[in-house]
Amino acid sequence: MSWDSEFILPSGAGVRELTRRLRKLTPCRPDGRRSVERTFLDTFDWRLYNRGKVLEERHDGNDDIVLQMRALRSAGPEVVAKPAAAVRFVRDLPAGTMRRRLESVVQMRALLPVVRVHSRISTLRIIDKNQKTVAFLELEKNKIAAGSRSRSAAELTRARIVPLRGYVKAARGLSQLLVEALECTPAENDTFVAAALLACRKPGAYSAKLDIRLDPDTPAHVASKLVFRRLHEIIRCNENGMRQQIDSEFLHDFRVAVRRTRSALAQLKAAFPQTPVDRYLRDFRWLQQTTGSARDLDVYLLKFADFENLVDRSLHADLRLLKEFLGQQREIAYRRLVRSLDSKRYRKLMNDWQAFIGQSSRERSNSNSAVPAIRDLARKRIWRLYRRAMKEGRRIKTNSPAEHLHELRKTCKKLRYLLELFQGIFPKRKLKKLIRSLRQLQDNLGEFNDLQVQSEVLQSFSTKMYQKKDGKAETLMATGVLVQALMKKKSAARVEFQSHFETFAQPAVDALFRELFHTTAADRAP
Amino acid sequence: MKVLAAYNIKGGVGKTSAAVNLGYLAACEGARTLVWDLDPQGAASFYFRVKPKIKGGTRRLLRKKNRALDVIKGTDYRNLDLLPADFSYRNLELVLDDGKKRRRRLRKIVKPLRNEYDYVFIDCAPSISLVSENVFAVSDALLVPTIPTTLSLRTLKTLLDFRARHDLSDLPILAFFSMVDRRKALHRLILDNPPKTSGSILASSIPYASEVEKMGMYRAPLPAYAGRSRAAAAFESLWSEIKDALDGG
Ligand SMILES: Nc1ncnc2c1ncn2[C@@H]1O[C@H](COP(=O)(O)OP(=O)(O)OP(=O)(O)O)[C@@H](O)[C@H]1O
Ligand SMILES: [Mg+2]
Repeated sequence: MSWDSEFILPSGAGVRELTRRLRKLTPCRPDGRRSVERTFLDTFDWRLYNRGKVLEERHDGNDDIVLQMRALRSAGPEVVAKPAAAVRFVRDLPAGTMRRRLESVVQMRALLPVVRVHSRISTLRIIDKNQKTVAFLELEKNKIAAGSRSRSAAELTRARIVPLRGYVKAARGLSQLLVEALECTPAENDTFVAAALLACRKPGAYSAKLDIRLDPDTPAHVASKLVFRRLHEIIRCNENGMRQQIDSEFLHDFRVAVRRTRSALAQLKAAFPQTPVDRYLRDFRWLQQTTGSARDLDVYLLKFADFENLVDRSLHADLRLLKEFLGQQREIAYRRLVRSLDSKRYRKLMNDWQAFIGQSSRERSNSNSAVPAIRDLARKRIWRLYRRAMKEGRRIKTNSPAEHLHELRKTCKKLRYLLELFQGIFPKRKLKKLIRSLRQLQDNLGEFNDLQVQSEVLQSFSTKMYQKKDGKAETLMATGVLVQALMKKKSAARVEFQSHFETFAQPAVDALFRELFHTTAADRAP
Repeated sequence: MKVLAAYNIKGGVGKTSAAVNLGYLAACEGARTLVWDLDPQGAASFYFRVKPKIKGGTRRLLRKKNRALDVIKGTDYRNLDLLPADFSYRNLELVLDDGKKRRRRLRKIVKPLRNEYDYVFIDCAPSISLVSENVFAVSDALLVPTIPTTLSLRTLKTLLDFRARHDLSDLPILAFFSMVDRRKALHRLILDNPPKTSGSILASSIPYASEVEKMGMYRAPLPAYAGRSRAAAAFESLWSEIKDALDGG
């Protein structure tokens, strides 16, 4: 858009004054005034904002809820929906464009209020000689609702042009008029961003991505502490959402951060004294385990629709009991998880760990030997893991036991974490390529493993249900059918393994690993 | 995206009022909706107060890629746009005929609309011609307003025969009774015992009502100025029945 659509009113001039002056300049007609309660929504990790979208829930006077989505810094809503009740998850929305658009972006995350704004909006229709509307001008007076009090700011009294398709000239003319004749200033920020900032929420602030910039020459213990601090931050940020069970991804991000911490610690322990490292490894492993079953149950429930699709429609009713049972188990698992978060062990772990990674690194460095630069240590470890993955992969034949794939899966995971943790110090493009080729192998191994575990666990759940008498024989049977289908998929994944591994093991990928991570004698020379 | 054509071989049966009012209702529900005024008379454009004119006319619309997106106009209503009529549509028949794939030429116009809209309502001129065949080729269903008279039912039969002859059996024909006057014995008779030969006819019907006629006076869709009227309720019920029929088929 080459013209501005959102403006801040000249100081002193209110909405009424501006309207009075505008009406002398261009034919227009007032089109009502309304009070709206607007709640701007986004996921905890700002998925909408990161895609340049603004989603708001509007309550007009008469209890109706209108959900509007538009592009950041653009005027008119692109998509509108009228859900029957406030929407927390995309799946609660009625089928339609809004749901389709949100599904791919928001996925399983909850839509959370970022900031609540009370708006008085006066709309003006700019009209032509046939009384046809050619543009809308919305004059908004916004107040941020913060608890019982509310705050207004001059910056939040705005004029917004809502253009109409096919009437660009009219919109551009209006934009010019506002600036030149009415002394309005184009707004720098979207209303959403301005309001969020005034409410002390910074759009885009949280992300589970690592994106740490590292100087390759940084000593390993210093660099790893930077990484640990970032991971620690992610861990702490997600606690609250886990406690409140807002959505499944808080626990997920939490666990990924814990696992990355463990992985990095295990791989880079050479950079630190041994005693604390062993203790932290033990404690993080405990943390990983104590949160494991809650995550598994989250996954079963997220996947339940997929599960259902694997069996005949006639069995869906029978599976419902299983789903309810999984839901109950999930509640129990989350209660246990919250107990862990409340435990002394967790509190002590977090406190000690924070102190450990916060310590200025010099005093802690391993005094005996010089600490290697992070580049060298990372290369060494990555190379070693890559070699191990190749060895483990090559020995797998069509009749190898499942444990061999399991081992390879774990090695690949470690390799992946290292590649990701230290992506900042290697050439981006090449690293991306490696991660991509690794990922397709991991997806296959992951699927194989998941299907294996899922079929075992679902079977044991349904047996447990049956024995406890809150299950029916039908549910047990339907689960049996589901497990069969999962096993069948598992065999398919097993068959596909070979070709995925070959893709990963191809010479081009090998050459790239060699180029980036293999230390030759020349490198080692002082 | 679904393309729904308000179509009838006969004139003056309620095609335009169906296209405009159903389009409005779809838009109110949040669906991105386009009304395509394909009648050179430009009645739908008139209702939306838009000039019945497309720069470059039919030829440009047919030749230039994505041209439709340049000439669409927003109406006064959220989510509801209009592809206006143009006088050159009078010669559409001839223009369509001077090319290859003469029955498929409207496809090119419709293609870029797919990402932009959930529904396109085509308001057709009455006739059966090459233009209609082109409309059939791009439509997901025909909405056929039918006045409950013997003659209108025969026209509907003609359309059904045409479909059968031209291998269009997977094009649903959603006929509904329009301009129904319960005071007329014939209307009552036909409504209560719809003839089997006319295929299945939707249960919702549009009553004859003076509010509908007033669309020309207000230059607005009926539900926008008489939302509580019986006729508006009839269009709502018709719209929900059409959506069900589309889902089912
Ligand atoms: N349900 C109704 N009750 C009363 N009048 C109606 C009704 N539906 C349509 N009309 C009126 O009948 C006339 C024809 O209706 P409309 O334009 O919708 O039909 P059409 O099939 O599109 O006509 P044409 O073939 O000329 O394009 C218009 O004047 C319209 O106002
Ligand atoms: Mg008409």
